[in-house]
Amino acid sequence: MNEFEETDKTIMGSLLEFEPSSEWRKQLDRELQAISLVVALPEIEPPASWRASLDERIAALAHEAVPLAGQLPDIHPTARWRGDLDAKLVALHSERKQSLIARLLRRLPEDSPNLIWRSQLNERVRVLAKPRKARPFANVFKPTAAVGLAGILMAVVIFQMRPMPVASVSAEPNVVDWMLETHEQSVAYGDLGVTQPAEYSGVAFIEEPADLSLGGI
Amino acid sequence: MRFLLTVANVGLAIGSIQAQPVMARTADVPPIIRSFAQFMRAGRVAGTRRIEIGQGAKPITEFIVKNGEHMRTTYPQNSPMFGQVIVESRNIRKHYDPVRNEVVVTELHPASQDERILNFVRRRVKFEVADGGKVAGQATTAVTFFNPRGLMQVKLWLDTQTGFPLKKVTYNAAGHVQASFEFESVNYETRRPRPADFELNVPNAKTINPLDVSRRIAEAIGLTPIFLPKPQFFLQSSQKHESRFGDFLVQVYEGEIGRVTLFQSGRLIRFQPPASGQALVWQQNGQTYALLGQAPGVLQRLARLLGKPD
Repeated sequence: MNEFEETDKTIMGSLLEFEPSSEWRKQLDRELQAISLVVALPEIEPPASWRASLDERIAALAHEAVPLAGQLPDIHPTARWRGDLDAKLVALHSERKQSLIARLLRRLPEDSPNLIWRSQLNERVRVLAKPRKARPFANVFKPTAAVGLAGILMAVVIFQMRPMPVASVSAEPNVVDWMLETHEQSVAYGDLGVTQPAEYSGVAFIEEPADLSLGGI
Repeated sequence: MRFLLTVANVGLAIGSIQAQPVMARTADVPPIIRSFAQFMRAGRVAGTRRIEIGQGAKPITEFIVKNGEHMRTTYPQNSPMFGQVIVESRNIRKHYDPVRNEVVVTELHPASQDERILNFVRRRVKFEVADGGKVAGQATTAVTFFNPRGLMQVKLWLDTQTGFPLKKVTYNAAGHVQASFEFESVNYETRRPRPADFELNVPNAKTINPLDVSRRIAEAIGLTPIFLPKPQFFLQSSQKHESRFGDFLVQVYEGEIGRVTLFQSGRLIRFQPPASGQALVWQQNGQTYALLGQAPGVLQRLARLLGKPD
């Protein structure tokens, strides 16, 4: 015996103590029947549409059940019994309604979309999202252009702050050029196999041996 | 001490990058080149030659007396070099300076120019042999050597009869004329010279070497001289150059990589970085140094070992 059956039995036991009208009893029977049907629902995985309509019916029945309590005065029970019964019914139906709906919702399986639906969604997203054109040079050009622009701006700032000197550096005599010239002259003597003489103002010192003088050649 | 260590380090470093000796292939040497080698070793001649170094420079006239590997050079009375006497053997050159009354004795690098000409042939440097016409009244055979770019490097006009070089023209890397000498007259029948003719024993003259000259110049211009290591580099001359950039000690070295010139100044001189690797300039301890030569890699190592900062 589950809790619903216990509740039903309690209610029915309470009702048997009085003499309700037949109409009221029929209404109550329908309500209980509906509740029993819902409780007896098999553990199946109904389609979502069917489930939605069922939820609506249950909600409607629950709403219909609440007004039934309002008809209780027609059967003229005692005031105390009526008050207690009203309170019980309201509490019961409210509790059962919330409990039942919560149970049903908890029993709903994880509504994970199937692969076809997901695939279609992906396709729609792909179509809606305009793909960006591949621009292979953009990654190179943009930073280069940025650096170049920065360089131009820096050059402009520098040249505006410090005017260029009139004489260019390259126009100045360079000691390295003179060194190269001196070195090449030395190499020329070496390549020629000639001893580089020192340049003195002529000072006659040694007499040439007469027999070696070139006058005899 | 520090200097000696530096010299030792440089010597060890350069020793590993010396050129390998060239194996002689006598069979590959043309007859005119063999005549040349034979004459330079044992020939005897006297003559007058004119030397031109660079374009527009005033020619220098020399009197030459040669006997085998010995040679004596003097200058005519109207020459600014009159009074200087140079005597050379295979390994030693003595240069008399009449102004200072001193004889500078220089140890020569084994690879003389004559030897290098022979090495050109041994190394299979491309050359051509052709009729050279007449020079100093003698029929010549012209031998032209080319550099790897196919440009003329050296051209010799060898006496066809004796092999003696009567004319020589050297070219720079671009193939332009660099220097030349040409004999105006020669006499192969001169009397046999005496050994004393090549001794250069001058009474009261002081005998020094290029290192002494370097130290003297360095002291005069206020710097501490540095030297390249022997036996990789032979100091051939030390001169003081008074340029518009200041006074320099200029040392010329001879080595397997050719001529290397070391410049030193006792002050910091403003310079623009050289465009080629043939010149390295650096400054240290308030002095300016420069190393110039044909082998950039060797120069780099030399300069670093001499103290050039990286």
